[in-house]
Amino acid sequence: MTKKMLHQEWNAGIDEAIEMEAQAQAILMQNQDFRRAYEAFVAKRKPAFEGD
Amino acid sequence: MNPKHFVWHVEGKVGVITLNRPERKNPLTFDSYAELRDFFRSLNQNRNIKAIVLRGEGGNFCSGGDVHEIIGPLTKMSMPQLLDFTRMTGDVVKAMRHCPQPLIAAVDGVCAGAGAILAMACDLRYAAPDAKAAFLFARVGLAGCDMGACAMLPRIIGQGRAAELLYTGRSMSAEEGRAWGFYNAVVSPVLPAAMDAAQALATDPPPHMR
Repeated sequence: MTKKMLHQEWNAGIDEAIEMEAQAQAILMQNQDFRRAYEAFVAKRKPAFEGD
Repeated sequence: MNPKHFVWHVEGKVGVITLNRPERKNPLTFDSYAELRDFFRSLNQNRNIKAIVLRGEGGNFCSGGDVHEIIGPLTKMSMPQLLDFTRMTGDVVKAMRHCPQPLIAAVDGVCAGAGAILAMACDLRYAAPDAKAAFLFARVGLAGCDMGACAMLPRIIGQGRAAELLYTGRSMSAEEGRAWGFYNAVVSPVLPAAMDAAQALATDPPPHMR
């Protein structure tokens, strides 16, 4: 996702890019890995990401 | 101008925004994001202030979104709520870009996540030698595309360096940041240098600054 956005935004205006990122990051916040990272932080351990 | 979630004070024509929850390295909350957005928007109407310094209290700049007050609630939100949040954080960056005064970040210690974004969204950045800026989104299960980072960071430090920082989430040292053009200078102590720069910009600004 980061690579895709870097290249999609290469030619975008900044305010437009900020909206693109708001949409992309909202999608990623529904991922299980985001929840895993939070739970790992609270439990003071390293997160094990599974890519979903 | 009497913000509740950060400290605002004025020295001459320079306004200073201080993030001040030093016991947690100055994290952001839902309320402080909203207040920063509204505050930067209101600067349009403030003709007495000619430059702004953004800093953190207690030897750190900003640790980003508060893990307990922001990240935890986000893991339980619906898509419309998440979009409201990511658009609000993006609006902080837009408001910083559109406010007429030059913004100068005085970065020391921890400058992480949304904190690194706030520094990035300033016009000038000064760093203390201990400044550690981390666009760490990849380390918390997200992508590097947060609050405009994939568009703005490459324009500041170049696409290859931005890709490395955003893919890995590793922190950038003050010296790297200076060599890459993220920081205008590395100075110790950083705040007086940032204040001097702000005073210089605020005093008798040349026509192109107005």
